[in-house]
Amino acid sequence: MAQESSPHPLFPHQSADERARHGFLVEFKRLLGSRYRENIRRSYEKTVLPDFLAQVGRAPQTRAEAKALLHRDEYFRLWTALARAQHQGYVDSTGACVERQAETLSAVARAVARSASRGSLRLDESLNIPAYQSELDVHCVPGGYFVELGADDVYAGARYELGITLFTLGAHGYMNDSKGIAGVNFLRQRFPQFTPQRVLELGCTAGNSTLPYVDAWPEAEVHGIDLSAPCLRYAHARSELLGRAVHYSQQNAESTAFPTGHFDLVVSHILLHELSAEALPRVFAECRRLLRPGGVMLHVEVPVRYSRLDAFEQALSDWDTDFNNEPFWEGLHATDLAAVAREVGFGSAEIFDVDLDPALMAFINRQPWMAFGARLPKSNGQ
Amino acid sequence: MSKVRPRVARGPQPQLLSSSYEDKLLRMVMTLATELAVTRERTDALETACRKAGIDVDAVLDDTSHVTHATRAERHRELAGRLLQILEEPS
Repeated sequence: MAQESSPHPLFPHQSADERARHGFLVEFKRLLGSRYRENIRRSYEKTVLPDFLAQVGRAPQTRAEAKALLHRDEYFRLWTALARAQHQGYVDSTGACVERQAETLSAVARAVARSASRGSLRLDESLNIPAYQSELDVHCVPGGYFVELGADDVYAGARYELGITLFTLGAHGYMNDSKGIAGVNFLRQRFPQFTPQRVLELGCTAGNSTLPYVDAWPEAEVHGIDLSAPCLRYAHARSELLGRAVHYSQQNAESTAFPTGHFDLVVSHILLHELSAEALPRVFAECRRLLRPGGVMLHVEVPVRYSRLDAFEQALSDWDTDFNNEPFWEGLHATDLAAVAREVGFGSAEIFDVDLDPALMAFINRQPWMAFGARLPKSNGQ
Repeated sequence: MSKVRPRVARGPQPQLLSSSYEDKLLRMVMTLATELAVTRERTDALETACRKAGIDVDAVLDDTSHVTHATRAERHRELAGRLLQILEEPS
């Protein structure tokens, strides 16, 4: 009997019913996010904009003005209710799928951890999870990254990987690693002589974006940190089963235990929009502390660039903040990242902010990933 | 595992339609549509296998003797339970 292929042995198995359920939800989302999303602007312009024009004498000029109108539009509200219903359906179904095999997955991870020889796993039960992460279930996923169903649990990591595969409709690649590949491609193009010996990924979750760095620089010592123990257990076992050496540890990216100047490369992938406004500069400062002279900080992010969008599109692009428990999404995209980087000591000439290879799009808005970061000068002043 | 997964995400629960009950009703419709998709795939797989084995699928469907009323009722209760699960969540 033909079975659908699995990216690796730890990837959650989907029964025939679960595959059917997920397949339907994926196609529902694809349709809702394309044809029926395009209708939102038409409805907005037809139903709520005329009253605003009549009363104010001009079109909305700010994101806040457009958002106030948009959120009153009945088509938008129905579209949003459907999008949330789809989201809740897939989150519940992926949760049930992983829950029924959580014991088995955890046993596999446990066995791998006991026999692992390539990388390592270090957890810290005393780590304080910041309130901005622990008090809200990001992405409307019950329990978020931190729920643990039992000893040595990997549920949150496994559900994340299955979930992100479906959430992005597979757009981030079979291994969900397109963000990491985009980062590697960028570094090779921009800094052709750059050969990092130590690499750190902040907020590595299941390690999807970590492995492209191992593949790009096999001699490098690659580390991944995250706040979530179940995600790190999963990431470690996943990496080992895929034959890659990564050293995972449970740490807060705002303040790590690594020595100053320990890394040539510090990267993150879609981490920044999950940081509070207070945490963001602390993470940038920690990146700078961790880098050697000549080292590179690289953050691959969803490219919401308000300056390229009219007020309506800006308002619509904030959907995840307003309806999907992404409290820092809007704030991040309104932040002058270069200014934050300068405040923590990066020089203006060191900073870059570019769009990446358009062949590797961010699913959420079908734009090329953005790369924000900086390269420290080499010690001789070059 | 010693615990069960949480079912409701912490955070705002916006009311998008005329009442919170309409929002729940929409989710019930979504659940129903999803389960219908699952059933259609099962049916298609089984009918295909039957036809390959030379079975007259239409004749089989007309024959209701293979399942008891109680079994049918239990299946219906299970589906109804999935639909109504949403009502257990806070408004």
